[in-house]
Amino acid sequence: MSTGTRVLRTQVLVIGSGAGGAVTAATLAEAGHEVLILEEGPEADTDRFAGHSPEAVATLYRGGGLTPMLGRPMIAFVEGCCVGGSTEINSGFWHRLPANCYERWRIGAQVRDLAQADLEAAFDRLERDVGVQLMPPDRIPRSSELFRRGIEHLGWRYMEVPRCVGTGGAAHDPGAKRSMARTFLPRAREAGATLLAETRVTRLRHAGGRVSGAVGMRLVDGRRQPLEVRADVVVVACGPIQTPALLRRSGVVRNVGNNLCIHPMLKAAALFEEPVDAHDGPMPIYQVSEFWPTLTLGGSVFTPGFLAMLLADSWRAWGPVMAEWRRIGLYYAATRGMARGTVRVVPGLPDGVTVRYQLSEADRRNLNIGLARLGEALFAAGARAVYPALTGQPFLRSVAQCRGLLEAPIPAAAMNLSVVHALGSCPMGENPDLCATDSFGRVHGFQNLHVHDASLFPDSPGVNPQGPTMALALRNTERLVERRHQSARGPVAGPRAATSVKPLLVTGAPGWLGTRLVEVLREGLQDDPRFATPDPDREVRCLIRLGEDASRLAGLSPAVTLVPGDLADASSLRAFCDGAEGAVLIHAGGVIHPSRRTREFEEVNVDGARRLLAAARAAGVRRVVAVSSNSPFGFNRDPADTFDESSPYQPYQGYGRSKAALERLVLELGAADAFETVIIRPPWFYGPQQPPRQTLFFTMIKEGRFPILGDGRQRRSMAYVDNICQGLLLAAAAPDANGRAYWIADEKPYSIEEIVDTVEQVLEDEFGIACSHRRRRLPAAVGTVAQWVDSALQAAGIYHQKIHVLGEMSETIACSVARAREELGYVPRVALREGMTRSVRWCLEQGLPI
Amino acid sequence: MLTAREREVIHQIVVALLPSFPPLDDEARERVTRDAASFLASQIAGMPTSLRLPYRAALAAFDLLPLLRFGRSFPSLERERQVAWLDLWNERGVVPTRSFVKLLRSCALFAYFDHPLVVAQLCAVTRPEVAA
Repeated sequence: MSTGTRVLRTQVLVIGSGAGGAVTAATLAEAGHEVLILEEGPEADTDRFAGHSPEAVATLYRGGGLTPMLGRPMIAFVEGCCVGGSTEINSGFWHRLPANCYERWRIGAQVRDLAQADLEAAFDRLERDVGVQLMPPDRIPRSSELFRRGIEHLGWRYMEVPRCVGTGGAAHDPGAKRSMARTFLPRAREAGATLLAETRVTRLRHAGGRVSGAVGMRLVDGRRQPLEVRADVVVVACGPIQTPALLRRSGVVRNVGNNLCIHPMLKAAALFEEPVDAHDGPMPIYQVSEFWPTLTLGGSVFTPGFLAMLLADSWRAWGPVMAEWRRIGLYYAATRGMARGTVRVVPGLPDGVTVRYQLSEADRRNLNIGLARLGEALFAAGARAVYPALTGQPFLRSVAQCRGLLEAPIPAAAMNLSVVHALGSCPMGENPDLCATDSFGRVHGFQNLHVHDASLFPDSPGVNPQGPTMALALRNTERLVERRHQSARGPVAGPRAATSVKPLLVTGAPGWLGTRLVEVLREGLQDDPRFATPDPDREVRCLIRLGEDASRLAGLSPAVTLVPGDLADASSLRAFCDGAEGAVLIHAGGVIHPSRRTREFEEVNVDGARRLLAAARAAGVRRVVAVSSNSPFGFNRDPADTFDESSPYQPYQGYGRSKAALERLVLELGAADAFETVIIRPPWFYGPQQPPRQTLFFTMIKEGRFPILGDGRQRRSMAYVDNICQGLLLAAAAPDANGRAYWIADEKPYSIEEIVDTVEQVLEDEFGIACSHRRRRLPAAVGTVAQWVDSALQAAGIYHQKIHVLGEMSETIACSVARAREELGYVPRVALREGMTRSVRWCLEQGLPI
Repeated sequence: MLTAREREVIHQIVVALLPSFPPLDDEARERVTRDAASFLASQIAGMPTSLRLPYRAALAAFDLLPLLRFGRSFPSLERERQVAWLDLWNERGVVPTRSFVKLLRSCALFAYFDHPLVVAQLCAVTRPEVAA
């Protein structure tokens, strides 16, 4: 951070104030979130100048309107760069998302949960908010009446396109448009949002799949002031060019800026016999739908300057037509572009953005046909001549000449094309080959980075995109609000809400942790009110290996289903995951202490996990929570150190290597968007359902045989089994946990001396079991020797449990649960003494001798 | 920001490009020309850096190359030669020179014909019933 940098803090940072950003900001602010909007352009008083005047162009348009798309031909592209974005400069035409998009996007981009009914409800609300209206018959401009006359003469289908114009007498007047600066941005401010104009974000700050804010420059009194914003959530809504540019500049490049879709447009001026006075009145309103979605024909905004620009390329020959300007209307033929463009940043230039779109042959042909059809309609409307925006081509004098265009192709290089609709540069969906964000605009691989603008469209809907952009932004923001509220509430209702319908799959269920987890899922976690009342109807599906004792699970509840299978058997895993679309899988199965051969680590913990995750992916499992260990991280270098989630892998022996491989496998699949992933790292755990080795631990302490290596001050993090269950439930439910790893343990590490002392106290104080109070103290070097022997044995493929455990006893293995506390809301409820008391009680209840 | 020299070249280009229609008195024409040139200069200055730098290089070439042919830079040429020089770049040039002139002409004509003084004059001199 440079000197003089102003630092701001907010809950939600919205970058961009156009159709997507304004709706997002208002919705979040009205839901009670702290929102900061940053807008690169100025906050202009649009009442001060005419909508398409040179002053408006210089003030409201990015680059003064000089932002071409490179290719042959070069295409003129304009977008707004002001408070309100492109809604301040567009025509305000309003379309709903065409019905055919829903299914196409669901199949092609794998967009989930985009139901037409839901979006239609959003459209209903938005249309009230922005005052979408058809034009009263007495206001229809002459240029549109003439155009309609031609269309009706030809018998083509057409529609009047409604506009965002509000209601009342001023509706449809120039300047009456209900842009974002007049609707959603005032609402956002009213609800407490802050808007900073003339503030350009240069890049996002992020690490480990989380964005922490953004840096940029703010223009203050004509001087640039560095600015940094720290935020919990960042929503990028800079439009289909600047959004991918910002993401790419920030190092977020996967499927970003590769799928740019446009509607190339060829304009033409039609000279009529009668006065048109297109400059004096509302916007043209009719669009020909006869050739939709390939082609759209319609009327265009008219000013003398716009007409002059169209004629400029043949000015010497066509310039005199300007004298007839009051009998001229401007029209267009636009096609739904079939090619795909790219958005790239130019290194070293803060404003360096290169947009490329190479017109395809299909585009050229469609525009050729479009011009021919447009000419037909205009001559049918009574035009005397049609001047198309073509270089080196004659103007059109007759219908026959127009139809001749169908036989004589116009070279692409002769077309003077323009574009006002760009979209699709960060497509949404679950298709890993195409999509940059998930189905709700959250950038893949990120927890808290979202895109809410026309970049999200997987392809072109073939209509003016303002309405669909606002509707998607509203839908995605409401989802975001819901997730944030869910996070803020904690997972009291989280697991229930997330899984009330979907089953929860558990591997390793008959084991120590797994059995307790299933019990918690059925009976609740009494120490934690958030999980005290489980959903009784939720299916808990457990993978049970042949020969495993699952009797305790079988009697828990009819909702617990036991599926026979094995991590070594892919077909059984597919059966286990069958019908689990949208479910959560908690993978607690694995080998800690193999019977003899170390190859089991690889076979079960890695290969088995790979088979399981493949089955989960194929079934459409939504989230995988993988239980790892402390072993991938080895030992703390210093007894005072603690591991956190940034600690590097330093696996200890075969088990550590296998768990490190498991973590990498899970993370890779998560990065490939196979499903959401969360990794949980519990260290040495303890509690009821414990295996015999843990009971032996109590017996050794009672009898004074438990070895204490060195001075006994080495520390160990331990995890009471219910604390781990709490962590697993949180990991299963927390929306923002995707892609994260968490250490889950008791609140603090304990020294070996403290552990032994505590167990002694519990045995004597709570249960009246006399202890010897002896300590078997051994030099720390014994642990080192045990490590060497363990290494040699494991290198030979042999596993010896006691030697392995002894090798760890001289070391510190301590971790911090700070991230889990902060991000998951993890609160370890049970500490060492209470946990050991419950463990001993369980042993005694089971009749196990201590 | 553009240099004073660049602004002068742009002003001269605008003078050479603007039509005589509609008729304007000298004062109005001078003001409209100045505003159009100012608009054009602001457009070039506001271009993204990756476009502005090559465009300014082209502007320098357009300004100075007449030295080789006429012994004078563009602003010092007579109006006829300025127009001829523009035509040379536009009609006999290659794609980049044509693109250079195309942008200048389009922006200048837009700024000119949408200038309030010109629009007022257009409305005054081209009443629809007269034109028809």
